Amino acid sequence: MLETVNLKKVFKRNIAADDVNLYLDEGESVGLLGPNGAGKSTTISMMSTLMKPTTGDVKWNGRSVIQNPSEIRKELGVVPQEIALYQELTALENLKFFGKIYGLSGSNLDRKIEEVVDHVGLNERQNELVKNYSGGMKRRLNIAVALLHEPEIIIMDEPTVGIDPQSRNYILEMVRQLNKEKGMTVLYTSHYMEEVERLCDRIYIMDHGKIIATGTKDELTSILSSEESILIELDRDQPNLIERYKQQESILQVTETEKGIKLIVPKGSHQLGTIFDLAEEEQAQIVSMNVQVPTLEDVFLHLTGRKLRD
Amino acid sequence: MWNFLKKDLLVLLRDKTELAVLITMPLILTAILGFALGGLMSGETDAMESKLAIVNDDNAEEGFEHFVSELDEQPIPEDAKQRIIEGAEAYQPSTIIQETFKSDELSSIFELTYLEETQAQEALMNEEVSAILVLPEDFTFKALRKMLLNEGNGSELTVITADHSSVSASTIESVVDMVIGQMNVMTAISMESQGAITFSEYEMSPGEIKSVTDRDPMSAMQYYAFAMAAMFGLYIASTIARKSYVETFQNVYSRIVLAGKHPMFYLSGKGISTVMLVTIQVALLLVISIFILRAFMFETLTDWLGIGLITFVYALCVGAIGVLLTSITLLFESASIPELFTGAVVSILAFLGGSFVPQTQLPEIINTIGNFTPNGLALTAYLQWSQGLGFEYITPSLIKLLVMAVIILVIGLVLFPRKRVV
Ligand SMILES: Nc1ncnc2c1ncn2[C@@H]1O[C@H](COP(=O)(O)OP(=O)(O)O)[C@@H](O)[C@H]1O
Ligand SMILES: [Mg+2]
Repeated sequence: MLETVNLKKVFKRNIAADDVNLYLDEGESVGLLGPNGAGKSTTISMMSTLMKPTTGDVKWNGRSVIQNPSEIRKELGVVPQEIALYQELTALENLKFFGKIYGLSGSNLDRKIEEVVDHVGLNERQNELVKNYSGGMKRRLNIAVALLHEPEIIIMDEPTVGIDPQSRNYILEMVRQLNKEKGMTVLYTSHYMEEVERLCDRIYIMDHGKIIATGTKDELTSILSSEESILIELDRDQPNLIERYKQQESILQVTETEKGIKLIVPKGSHQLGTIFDLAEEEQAQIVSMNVQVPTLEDVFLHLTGRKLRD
Repeated sequence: MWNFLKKDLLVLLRDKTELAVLITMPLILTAILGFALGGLMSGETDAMESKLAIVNDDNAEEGFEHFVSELDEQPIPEDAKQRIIEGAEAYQPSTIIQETFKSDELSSIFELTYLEETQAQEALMNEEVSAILVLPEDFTFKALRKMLLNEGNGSELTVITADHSSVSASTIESVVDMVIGQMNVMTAISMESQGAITFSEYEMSPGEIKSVTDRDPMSAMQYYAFAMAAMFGLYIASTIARKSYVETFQNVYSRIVLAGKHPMFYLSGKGISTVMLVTIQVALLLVISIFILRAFMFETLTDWLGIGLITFVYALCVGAIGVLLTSITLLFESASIPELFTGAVVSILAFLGGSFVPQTQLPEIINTIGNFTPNGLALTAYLQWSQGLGFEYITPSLIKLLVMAVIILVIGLVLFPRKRVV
């Protein structure tokens, strides 16, 4: 339905998107996961006709959107990363304005507004000025506006940034409903791996402008199926112990975490004994130990050597 | 289109500080400047009291008789002659000038004494009087002849002062100026309304009295009511442009593009809302000036319609500026140009256009430049119209404003970054 072909965007200083190839099928929910500055917003802007690619193309049902931007615009809902609303207007006034520029009017417009306001749960406060809204409410309205014209596909750019967990849950559930119950195709961008894990059928992982991995959650984590991660919590900082672990050839990766150390080891390599022995030699007290199945975070770490949130 | 307008209006109306600046500031300034400078003429300034010697070499009665007998010989219909005589009686120049200095407003500033010329000069030397006003021989006859028949060279009033730059001397000069100006206008209006003869030839040049337009014969309050309206209208253009920066910044502009609306819709929305806002703002300012500050009053519907027309034409020009500033803002994706406009350009234009210092007190060169500023043109037109000058006097200013609007609009459209998006 929507695909990018060797999409590239070069800014003066850097390459924000580099040969990006991704596609969405009808009814799919696809995630684009990557740290800040990975090039997600740039890619999305090009896909939604708001930015011209340096090279490459975006195709909507097989036709280039660069040549025919109006074809996709009708069917596309975009939730920008920033709150794209008039802060001085009320929620209702915003919805009316944006609804009208999409050609809705009269009772049809009123009905649509009622529907989306219900959907995002802002019914009771639709007559308040947006600037008096909480962060979560603004985010919800930001989504509502993109839904007014009943798009076939919705592209969301980090729609949960900077809000409380409750609002975040609400939004995630809302997106899930749009996809599963209304059959809307969703492209969901985030740097929270829990979100894409929870929402998306298929995931692209992006870093430094490039897609570095793609697949379902299971496919991606199976990249790490030959490894397992071991989390150990220590009573205090142990720089020496970390050094010792790093020198150990059978331990693939050592990273410091908030509470202790995270080790990645080949699956079934029975390293627990070594780990305990070294700790004892360094006189470090292990408070707890946890052997984990890999997460997307681990996949990212594995692919880039960095953590997603850095 | 209405949708865009409504949005722009709502957004601006919700911005209370902006509104306060756009509406209350000019009113406050009008009040302050009007009272401060109006004080000179309202007698509240006892410190300013000065003595004026009047040397009257004119014999008004004789002059009038002389004028009537000259009129008799003119090939004019009898009833027209009758009306001219009535006009001459009503607007006896020397009486009007002397009565003005004796009026309630001025009598507390000026103490009048009638002296012979030599005595008067002596008194001036001894600083017993601050100025001498000379009504020359045959003043009445020559002035009436020029004013009502457009014959001869008119007559000249002289103000003699010891120290030209002293406050009381310059006050007297400006009062004389003002009286002359008002008298010209009054004659012009009264004769025109009687329709006895056409006045187009000598409306502006009775006596040696200069044209009314470069005079300042109105109250300071009235002057500043117009001056501030013209100045603050300009702020709307930059305010609208700054809001458009916020719109790109907040990504709502992308939404408008995504909705498939041609960006020209958006741009023309900006232009039209600027025009509407300027019209509303100026109307509001003038109405408040009239009814609350009691700056001035208009009698007839025509007066109002003329002011409305000037306002609308001016608003069109400011609308074009709004479009230009919006284009530039979107082009550079920065609000610095409209901010510069608000911060500096408006003040410069306001100065050049006579919004701070009355046009009459500015050097000629500045007035010339000021005549190329939209606010200066609007102010000139307002002043001319409110002094009762006819439509033909304000037309040049209005045409200049329209030409300027078209040029600015074209530049704005050319600069508009259509290619910003796919
Ligand atoms: N308009 C721009 N001009 C120059 N560089 C940009 C521009 N937009 C984004 N970039 C750069 O491109 C890279 C990718 O940015 P972005 O697409 O916003 O990443 P993400 O959305 O994944 O956080 C960043 O390094 C950013 O600084
Ligand atoms: Mg981004």
